[in-house]
Amino acid sequence: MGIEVATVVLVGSMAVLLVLGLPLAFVTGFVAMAFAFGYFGLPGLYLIESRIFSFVREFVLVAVPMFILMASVLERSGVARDLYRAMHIWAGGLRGGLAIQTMAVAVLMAAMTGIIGGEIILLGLVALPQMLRLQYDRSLAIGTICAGGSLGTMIPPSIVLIIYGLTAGVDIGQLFIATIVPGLLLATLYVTYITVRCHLNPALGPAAPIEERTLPREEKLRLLKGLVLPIAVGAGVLGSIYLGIASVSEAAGMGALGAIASAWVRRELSWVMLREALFQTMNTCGTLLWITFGATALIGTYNLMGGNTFVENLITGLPLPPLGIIVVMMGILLVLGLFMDWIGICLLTMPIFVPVVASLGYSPVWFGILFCMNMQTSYLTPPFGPAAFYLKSVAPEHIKLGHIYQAMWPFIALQVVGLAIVLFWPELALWLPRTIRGE
Amino acid sequence: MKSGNTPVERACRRAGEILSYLFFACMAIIAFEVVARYGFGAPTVWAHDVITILAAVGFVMSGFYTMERRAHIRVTLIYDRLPPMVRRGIDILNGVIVLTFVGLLGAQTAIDAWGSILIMETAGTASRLPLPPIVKTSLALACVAMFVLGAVHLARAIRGRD
Repeated sequence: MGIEVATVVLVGSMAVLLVLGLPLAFVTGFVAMAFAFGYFGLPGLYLIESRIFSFVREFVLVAVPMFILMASVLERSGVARDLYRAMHIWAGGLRGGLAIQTMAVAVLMAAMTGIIGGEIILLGLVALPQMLRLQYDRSLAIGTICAGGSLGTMIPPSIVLIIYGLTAGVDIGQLFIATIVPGLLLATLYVTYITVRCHLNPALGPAAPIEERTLPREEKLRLLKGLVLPIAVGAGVLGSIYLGIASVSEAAGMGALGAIASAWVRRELSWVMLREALFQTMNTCGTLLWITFGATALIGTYNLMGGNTFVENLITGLPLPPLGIIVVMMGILLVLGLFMDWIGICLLTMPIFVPVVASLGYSPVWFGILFCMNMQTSYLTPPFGPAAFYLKSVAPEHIKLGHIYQAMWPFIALQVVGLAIVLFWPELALWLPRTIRGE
Repeated sequence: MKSGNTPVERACRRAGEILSYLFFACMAIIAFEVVARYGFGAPTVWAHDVITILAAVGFVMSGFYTMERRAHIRVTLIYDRLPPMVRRGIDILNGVIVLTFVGLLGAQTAIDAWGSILIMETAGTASRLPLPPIVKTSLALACVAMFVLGAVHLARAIRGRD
């Protein structure tokens, strides 16, 4: 079987099995095994095993469960609720203020955690009822929560960037610095959109009544006391990575410990809470890691079959300028994002794309940020937009999945705008790492 | 398919819950190492490798825990709209695919792990800890657990009861 036919059979069989609803982890693993055995016989099996083995022994990967644990603990504490109340004093009086404060909470929570699902669920529980109570436009409220909650991919620490760094061989600290400006750019686009729409039509997001925005002094102090430590922990984690004091894994581990300490100071820590957080960490690791096992096996096999040279030639053979090739890659990622989970996409495409990007003379750091923005969009796009499912699980009965997807479109459009801005203006991603680290 | 309550499934859930403490241990050792290095200027030789081993064992073992909780990511948009008979067919296909993948992976890993144990292979790092035998054995064991769990799921799908 020539590589052209093999590629079609491989992609086709994967697509069919995925559409039937089989788990991505086992589909990729199974297809990898079939091809490895078919092409290389028994040594093919060794190839798969050794790829999995060399993946799990990466020290950097330890950061993944540590950040998940940190997030799992913070999710179970009242930090998000308190942040939301604190922001209310500041932004509640503005038109669309509740949506803006939701976005601010989303950014702060994203800086303390690196996973998406929990943040959307938290915002869905904390912010959605409030916005609906004040007669906010339903679509605006839903879109704000889903888009803001997905910022966890872009605002460091980001698990997407850890996996990208591992796959592409790029320094993760570097990526964490590079993503700050593009991440804030997206948040700014969202806030601008909310503000403009609410000024054109104040009925979309009325200001909160004044009596709601004045809190007694003791209450303010209590909020402040409860928020200082978690925010300091978040800042400490990122700061130590940026300054190069600790490795990403160590910073993440200390962050998890800091989150537990915060919960303890806030008198929210209990044995049950810690256990539940650990079980959730185990479960999330299972979903993420086993997809990487299947995907790393598949791409390893495919590349050994000559797949990478084939796709590279295919892409670089396109009659397009270098930037056009990047745009094509973005298009491929967007389409894959409709159906597949980001981690599968990362493991499957980056080993092929990143060498091409590098050979075109572009920075893999910049490309990683573009990839990350793209994957954040994939959280929103139907039919497989996890953000919608997360929000649906905590939204009131009368909000249907259709309403949620409908509410996403303006924000998906803003994502594409943000992506285009960073695409045509790489300095947005590259300026900060160069300034901080002098590279 | 929903989760069942056979002894195999209960055992997988319980084992996964217990093994989740590996990540707590990881965190504790990271904290210890950071304090030892920055607080006392006495970094350890072993922390790095121990953390890597604990996390790696947690990673491979998490597979069956997630499988038992039916939490492996799948796109069920079409699946949910299919008639029960077709869904049963897909469940059977799923069972076969899982058994093939973890069966072959487990067998291959077991052979390799055995070779690794015989020579007490080390990771070639300063701590000289036997990382490869431990991690490979864990992967083989995780595959065994997933194989048994997959067989239970498959049997249920064939019997046609949810």
